[in-house]
Amino acid sequence: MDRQPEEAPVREVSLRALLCAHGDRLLRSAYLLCGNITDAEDLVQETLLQALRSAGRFRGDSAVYTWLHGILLNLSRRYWRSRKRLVFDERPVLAAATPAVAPGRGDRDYVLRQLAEAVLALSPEQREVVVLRFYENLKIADIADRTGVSTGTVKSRLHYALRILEGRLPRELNHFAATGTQEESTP
Amino acid sequence: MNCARFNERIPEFLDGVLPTEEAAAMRRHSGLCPACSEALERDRALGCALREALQQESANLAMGPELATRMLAAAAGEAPGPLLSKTGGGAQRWKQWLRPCAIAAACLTGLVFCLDDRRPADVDQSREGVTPPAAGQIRAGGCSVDIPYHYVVHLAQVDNERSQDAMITGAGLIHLDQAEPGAAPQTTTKSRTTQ
Repeated sequence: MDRQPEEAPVREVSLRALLCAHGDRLLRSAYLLCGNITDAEDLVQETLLQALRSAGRFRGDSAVYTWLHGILLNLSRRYWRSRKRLVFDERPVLAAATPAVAPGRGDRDYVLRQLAEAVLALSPEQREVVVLRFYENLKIADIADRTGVSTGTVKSRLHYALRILEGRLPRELNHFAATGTQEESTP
Repeated sequence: MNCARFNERIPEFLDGVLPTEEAAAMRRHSGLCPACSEALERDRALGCALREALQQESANLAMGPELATRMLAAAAGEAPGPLLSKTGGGAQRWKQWLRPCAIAAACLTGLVFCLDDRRPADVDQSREGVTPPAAGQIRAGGCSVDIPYHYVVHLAQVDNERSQDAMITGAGLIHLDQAEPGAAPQTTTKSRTTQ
């Protein structure tokens, strides 16, 4: 799992250091939030520019990546608001057109790919919650803080997102439930 | 603990943030209710699958050198203050710009000397009564041309253990004005330098 150690906040801004330490992770998160690599690169670039502009206001009360990712989230929401159009996404159509044959053990990568495609086809709000929970590994309370909504709203969006994902990939998810996965989260 | 309460608390239970007593109540209910137990296991398995799927989907993405260079260039042009002002005092800032300014000035001077003896190949000296032109146009009674120039100066400073990069970009127009054919051209330079 891609976990970054919590580093001490720094006050001096070195852009090259930000890129080296957090660029890859920011880019991947941006891609999962917006769904295409070109827009993800633009989002990351704008995130770094915003970070430079607001570096003086960073109080160091959170990790640097947390601060950067907060900027990225705000920009991704602005990105979705600015689109304001129905984007035809052919991925769910392609997924539905694929013969629904129960995959065997060798088709694990196929199932994971289908699952990722289904996530990228979610609404922006649902996708945001899914990415924050299952890619950034945030808890419900932390997602609520990061997105500025209540924990009830977070859980509601998460619940509907998971039901949508189950509905799109029922047979494949039954495969996972039966065979298990490499990681199990045990409370 | 009823089924509605159980299903509502599944995310916190999987996060491991429930109080001890409530977590124990969840486990008891899960043991007694097959439907709720199945719901818990489905969410747990789906969560694991999603983590793996999202990692796999994004694993090949990385900030390559070309993209990093582009971002550094954009950021350097956007906000020179935070990048440079935190590296030292004012006197040190002065010194670090002396050399690049000298290089830029030398380049500009050389460019002016190179252009001094040139005449636009398509000068039309017979036109009369033409209104003042925009850059690049021909003016009546002589010739006038604006030649755009652009330069980029890359800086690299190593300060103790830190290295920082910045760019000075400049652009402007070298205005050549030759009022009469054969007269020495007068040159003025309008420049804009950004850091």
